[in-house]
Order: sequence, then C-alpha cells, then structure tokens
Amino acid sequence: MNRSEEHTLIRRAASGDHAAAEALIRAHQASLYGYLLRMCARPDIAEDMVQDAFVRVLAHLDRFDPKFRFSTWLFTIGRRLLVNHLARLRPASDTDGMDRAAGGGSGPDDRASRDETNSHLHDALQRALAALPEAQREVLILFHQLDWPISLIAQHMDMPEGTVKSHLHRGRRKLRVLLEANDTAHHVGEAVA
Amino acid sequence: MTDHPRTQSTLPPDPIDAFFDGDLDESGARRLVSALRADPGTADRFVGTHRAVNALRAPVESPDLTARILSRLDQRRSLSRRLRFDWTGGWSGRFAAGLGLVAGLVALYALNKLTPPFSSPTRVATAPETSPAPTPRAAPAIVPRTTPANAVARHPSGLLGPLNIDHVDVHAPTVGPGLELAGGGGNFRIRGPLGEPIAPFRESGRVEWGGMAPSFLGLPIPPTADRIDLFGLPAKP
Repeated sequence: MNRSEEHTLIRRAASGDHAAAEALIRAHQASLYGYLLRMCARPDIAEDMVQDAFVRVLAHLDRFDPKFRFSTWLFTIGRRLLVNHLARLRPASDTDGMDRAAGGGSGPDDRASRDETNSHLHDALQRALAALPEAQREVLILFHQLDWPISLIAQHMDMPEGTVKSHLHRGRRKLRVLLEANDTAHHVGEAVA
Repeated sequence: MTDHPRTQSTLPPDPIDAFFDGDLDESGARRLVSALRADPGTADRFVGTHRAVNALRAPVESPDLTARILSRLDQRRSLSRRLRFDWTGGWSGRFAAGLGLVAGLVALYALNKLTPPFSSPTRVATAPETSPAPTPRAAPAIVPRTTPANAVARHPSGLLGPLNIDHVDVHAPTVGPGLELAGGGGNFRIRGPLGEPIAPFRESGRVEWGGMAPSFLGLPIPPTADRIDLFGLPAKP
C-alpha cells in the first residue's frame, strides 16, 4: 500500500467508511500482533492490545498527521500499551516482570496440532526472548522480525542509532547462547528419557 | 521500558554482526569467509546466530481480529453519540441534560486520558517515505563452506537446527531415512525447521553420496561426491 492509497483509506475511514477501516486493520494487524506477542509472550494480552491500539487510532483519525505513516502511529500506540502492561508486571525489578512475561510460553491457546519440532522451537525462542532485557528484545523483534531499518527503530524507541545497534548486537549474541543452551538441555532431557 | 546501556558507544565491529546487520560489502564478505574457513568456532557462532535470526523471522500465527475491532469501534462511537444532550425541554429535560453534561464530561475526560494526544508531531516518530514495510536491507553475501550431508541430517539440532529435507528424483539403489544413503544421489531441497527458507544457505541442488552401491553388471561402483555445499558453491568431488 503506497502513501497515497493509505491517505485515501484514512480519509474514508475517518468519515465512517467500514470497508476502509477494515482495509487498514487487515494491512497491519498481523505485524502488530507478532510484535506484541513476541514482546509479552501472551496471545490473550497481545490480542487485547492489538484491538485497543486499533480502536484508539481509528477513533481519532481526525488527528492523523499525513506527514507520518499509519503504521508508525499504530505501533507507537501499541508500544505505549505494551509499556503499561510490562510496568504492571514489574513490581520491584526488571527480572520479576520478565519472568512473568515469560511464563505463558505460547499461552493458553497453544495449538495441539502444531508439529512438535516447531512447537519446541517456538517455545524455546519465546523463553529466550523473555530472558533478554526489554530493549534488546524489542530491537531484535523490530529488526529481524519486522525488517525495520535502524533509523526507524531509533525513532520508535527514542534512542540514538548507535544504542540501537548496541542492543541489536548484544541481544543477538545472548539469543544465540540461550537457544544453544536450550538445545543442549533438550537433548540431555531426551537422552535421559 | 527503554534500558539504555551504561555506555552509548557501539561494540567493536564484528564481521558476523556486520553480516547479519546487512552491512557487509564484498570485501568484508570475503574476509568473513576466510575467518569461517579458518576457525570452526567462528563458523559455529555464525551458524548459531543464523539459526537464531531465522527463528525470529519465522511467521507468527495471527488471529483475525477485524470483526472485534470494528465492533468495539462502533460501540465507542455510539457511546460518544449518546453523550450528546438536548437542551430543549422543561426542567426535567434540563435536569437530565445537566446530568448528561456532567456524565459526558467525565467520560470524555477518561477517554482523553486513555488516548495519547497527537497534536504535537514531535511525539510521533518520523516515518520513512516508503511503504509500511520499510525498505528491505540488502541480501547478505553467500558464505561458502562445505558440510558433510550426513552430518547435516543426523545431528538432532544440526548445524542449522532440524532441517526439512525433501528428495526429488532420487536414483539411489539403496535409500534410507534422511540423507543416510549408500551410494547414488539425487536432487534435494532444504527448508528450515518451521518450513521457512534458509537463505542465504543453499536451498536446492544435486548431491552425489559416497559409498558402495550395487552395480548393473555386478561390478562395484566407486564412491562419488558425498558433500552438500550449503553455502552455494558446487560440491567438491
């Protein structure tokens, strides 16, 4: 969707056109959900935040500044909802919040039909992400999962590009180590069984 | 939410980081290739990082929330409309209108507190001129290395994690599970553990496996190539 098409949809949605609002939702809900799910590890929470973010954005389209992209606005709202959610989980220290965030694995809606290997890797990735500091986790998700450039991540997270790169490199290293450690533990468990 | 590191400076440049950042030029790629060939530890680190990145890139199954979002949006707009009051009518009407005014002000105050203001453009990140999907980074260079086919298939997590390997047109006289073939060969296609592409590693091609195979006239067939080059170079005999 190019900018012109996006602005047309926004204008139509602002005047109450359901089809235009639906098109905006379908264009962005998957990426927003993937980002929020990987950050909080709870499908139910991620679904709520996605709905919240869209409702707030779509209800205030009259405030939309056409200099910016709809996705930028949407992800900014989503991030604020995420910050509020993570802050509620963090009573005393970052570790407590992250442990709570890691608890669900793939959440109460785990798909029984998912291939066991895929499920193992998905859960391993989610546990590893939850063990990372929030900033490193977020940078990894935005850069590798959503293909955002460093400059956009820096603006979204309100930090210098050098700091973003630092988080990216450290986070990637830690993620690799955590996944390798998980593999070792998994195979030891299989051998014992 | 944002935990800035104590130092704002970047870490010393690492060719593996540069590769996965998409910042490696051709000469840098050649240096990385040399480093991977010379040091198995570096190669293992590269493969482990690639596996982690691929896991991040795996698609996330997403529910369709469109109907729920539109329903909530309609409810919100309906509530806003109901809060509009009519000043006409008698005392009871004006009393009801007054109550409505108070309720409306409270509700609007609550809504405004929940919704971030966007009147100041500086609070919204500047967006790039491109489409919602930012400009993709340049594809990383292919790194050559040979890996025994059996090692790839047999190792539980493998060099690249558990792989999905499809065989097409296999002509081996003896065919076993995975790549545990005795002689012969065939075409292959490799996908990652979640079915995702494993680029920049080689994803398809032809391989010949070593070993003895029954011959047509009772004569032994000498072993042929037994390696798959996952990085794009032809397998060496």
